[in-house]
Amino acid sequence: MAYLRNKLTEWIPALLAAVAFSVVLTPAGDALPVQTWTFEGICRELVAGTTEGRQALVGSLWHAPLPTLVGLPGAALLPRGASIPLVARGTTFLALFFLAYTLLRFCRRQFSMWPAMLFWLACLLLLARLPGLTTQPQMAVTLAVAAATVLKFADWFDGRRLGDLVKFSFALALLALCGAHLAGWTLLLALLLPLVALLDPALRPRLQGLLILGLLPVLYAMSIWLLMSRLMLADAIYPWRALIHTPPAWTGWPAAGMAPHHLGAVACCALLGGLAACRRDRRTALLGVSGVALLVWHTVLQGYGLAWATGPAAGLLTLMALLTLASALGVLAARPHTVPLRHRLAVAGVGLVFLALCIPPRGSSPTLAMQDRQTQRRLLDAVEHYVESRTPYGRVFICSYRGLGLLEGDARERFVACLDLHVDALRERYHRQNLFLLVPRPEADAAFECAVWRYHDIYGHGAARALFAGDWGDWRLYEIITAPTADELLEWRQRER
Amino acid sequence: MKTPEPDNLAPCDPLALAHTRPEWSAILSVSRGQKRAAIGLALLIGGGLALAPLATGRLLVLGCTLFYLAATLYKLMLIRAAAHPRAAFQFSAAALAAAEPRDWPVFSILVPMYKEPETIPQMVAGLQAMDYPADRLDVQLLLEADDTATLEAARAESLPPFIRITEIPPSFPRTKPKACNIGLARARGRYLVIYDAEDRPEPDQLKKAVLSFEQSPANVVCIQSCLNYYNPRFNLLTRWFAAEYSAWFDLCLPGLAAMRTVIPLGGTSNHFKTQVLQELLGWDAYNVTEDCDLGVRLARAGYETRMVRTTTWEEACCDPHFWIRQRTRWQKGYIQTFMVHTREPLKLLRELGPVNFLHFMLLIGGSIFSSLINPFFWALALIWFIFRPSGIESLFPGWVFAMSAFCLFVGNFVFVYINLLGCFRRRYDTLMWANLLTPVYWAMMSFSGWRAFLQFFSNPFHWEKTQHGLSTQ
Repeated sequence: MAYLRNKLTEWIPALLAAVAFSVVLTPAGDALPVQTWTFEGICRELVAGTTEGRQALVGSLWHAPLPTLVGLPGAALLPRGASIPLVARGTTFLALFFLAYTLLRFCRRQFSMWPAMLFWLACLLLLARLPGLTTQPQMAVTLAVAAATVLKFADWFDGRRLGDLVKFSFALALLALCGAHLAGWTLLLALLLPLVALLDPALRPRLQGLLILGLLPVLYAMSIWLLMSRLMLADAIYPWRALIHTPPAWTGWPAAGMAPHHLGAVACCALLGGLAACRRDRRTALLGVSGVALLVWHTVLQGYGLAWATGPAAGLLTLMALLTLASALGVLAARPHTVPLRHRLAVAGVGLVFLALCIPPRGSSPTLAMQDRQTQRRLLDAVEHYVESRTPYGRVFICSYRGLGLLEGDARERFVACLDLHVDALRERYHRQNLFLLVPRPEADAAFECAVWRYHDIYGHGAARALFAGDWGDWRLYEIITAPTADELLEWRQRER
Repeated sequence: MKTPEPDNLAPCDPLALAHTRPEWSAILSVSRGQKRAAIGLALLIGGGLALAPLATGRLLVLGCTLFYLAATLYKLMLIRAAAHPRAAFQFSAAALAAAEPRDWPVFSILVPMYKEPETIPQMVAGLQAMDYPADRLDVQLLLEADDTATLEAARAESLPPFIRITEIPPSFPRTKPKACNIGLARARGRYLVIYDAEDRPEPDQLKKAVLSFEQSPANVVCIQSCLNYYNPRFNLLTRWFAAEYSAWFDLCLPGLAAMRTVIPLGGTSNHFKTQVLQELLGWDAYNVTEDCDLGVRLARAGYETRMVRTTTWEEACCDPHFWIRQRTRWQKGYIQTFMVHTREPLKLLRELGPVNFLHFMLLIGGSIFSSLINPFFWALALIWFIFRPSGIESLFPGWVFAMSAFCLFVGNFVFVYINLLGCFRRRYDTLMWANLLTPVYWAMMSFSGWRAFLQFFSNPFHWEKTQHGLSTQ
């Protein structure tokens, strides 16, 4: 009974927080990031059991498997075709609930009841300032899993409990399945485990066991992803193909792109982590190091021109600073008389720095392309009108994950989402039909899609047998030209006569 | 307390349970009601497959998938519960020292042996090394009267005064529980424990058991110690076996103990209150896993079993041939136990309560069922991965596919990982790599499971004896 009561004191506030985020902070209109609509489409297709759905589950680093899997129950239960993406909303709600629950548990471990609630509310207020958290399910899921991962790692590092190590290792595996947004940071956390074991004389003899126990789940998760890619797309490394064929170019260290609140957050992490390391406060030290590692990954993403993908890293960075501060204050609260005055002053100073510098201005994240249902319908109507004016047998392949979002709730058979584009295979399969390719501008996640790495610059110049047919905003239509067969030539000549 | 006279050699009935409470004994393999239910189920499935093969196939797959899902979640729940402080008693050396000086109760030790004369010196040395007052020990070597080699070896050994030889008259069935029942009737101690001849219990185990009893409520009548192997690195098989035992005795059974539910007792090192065991008529001489059966009977009678963190080191079977024979016996015993206790399912439900009833079904029934159906699902998965036939996909519609995929990719990994956890807790770090090949071990278990299933009907009381000493030869 006491266990249940204890759980309820964590579940109910977390549930209320998730409700508050969903009701108050979610924008009222249906103009949402393109990725959100895409997410909705992927989940719907997967539940419908289509090949495109299965391919979409495993085929992209930017639409990774875990958020999609979290969205599946919603896709099965919620109605299709609403003006707002219900699955995305449901998934975001679940992720925010889990995030709020994880943070509350951490705060309760650090402080007594009321200070814990206050700090938890501070975390929520910080989260409320993160743009995209309530509209992008991928980001919400990634943030929730990342927070759980790093906090469990810190718990294990502090208490060396086997249960915490197990939870960390499984959370790390889930984080790896969240895709590329935090991939580098995930790798750094994975590397921290052996490093920690090597540096600690008590753990060094158990390095082998720790490595297997701590890293096997993440390796297994990645191998399952490879296997599924092999089964669904006949290519085990399909999601990584874009990085091999069209790797993003290094554009230089983004000193100008570094926002003051990011620098403030990393300063908090570094200072508190350093102070904690001196006092053998292992939990705070690890959180601090993780925060600094996050900045490194954030910088790498920006340096490679992937600023659009830094949302989760940027959001987590500020949260990490706050968690590191909470951990340091927790130690002060638990052992107030053993901590020297200068240490206490230093922590208080960093707290002030945090308040002054680390809170991000609202909407400071890189903006993403927005879309609403009407815009999607208008695009499809315009393309359909054009194609029908050319031929009654036209079929349009939308060569992007975004096609799944465009077609979600739309029953037009003329449009087909195509994730694994093989022009020759399409010509063979849809013999005697007029085929068109609808290609998005290769920016953000669309720059890493199959149409781009397999048919270089298809958006700009088309491809062999694909001729430019029209242009609608960020989308271009190409017609696939096929040489007529002998029968078709005869029929045409007869008609000409 | 009712204790037998010290030199009570009056004839006792080692088959008392089968004679006085046949409904508790495996003497009758399958009851009439069970036969009817099995025939009805077979007819239902056969008829369904003949009339509506796809729908029946889907229903069967759905049932098995739900079972796999439940088994996976159940195992996770057990492991989580094992972390609870009440999962097992733990006594430090300081706690044991603090308990001294005191008057320790008489502790009976039964050592059933058959055709293993070579183990006697080691066994006697192990018993002499026990950290327990010698005048409080009552050890019986239970030797078959016609096993002259072991009898002669025992008589030739200079036995300390607290060890006596009890001859077991030859009679059917020739099982370990029958010998133990005779030993139980002649036991003098307030507590009683069974060790196999090759066992090496930790010296302070008896003291820990006594302290555990004293710290438990009155209805706790059995304290189970952990079992593990002293030859885990001998070969791949012993590595797998040690990992399995580490997970079972260090995680799963403590998890069950934390949940205060039915515990299928391990073969040895289970410490009993002698009087209660005598009242329950001892072990079922017809059950080839009499320990598991006794664990269920204790729970049905309203008693509880707890775990204590102390280890008895055994010899892991290192020969695949003998391993399969041993595992066949264990799984046949599980089938016997399941059949005995489900003769009157409603009565079982009433006696155990709904939660413990589910535990029993998943623990005993589930382990048999999974080893029988696993080969079919492995074959289905392999065929699907290699040939991708459409027929198989039609058996797994929508959510069934999702659940099956979860069980295949997550469930199987969880089972491997649990073994890894067991190894890690035991500090068997160098054994952990071997666990990556655990699916081969599962295949051997399924082979034994099918062998046990067939033997249950053809030769239910046959005791396939494990050959010991192979790893030291």
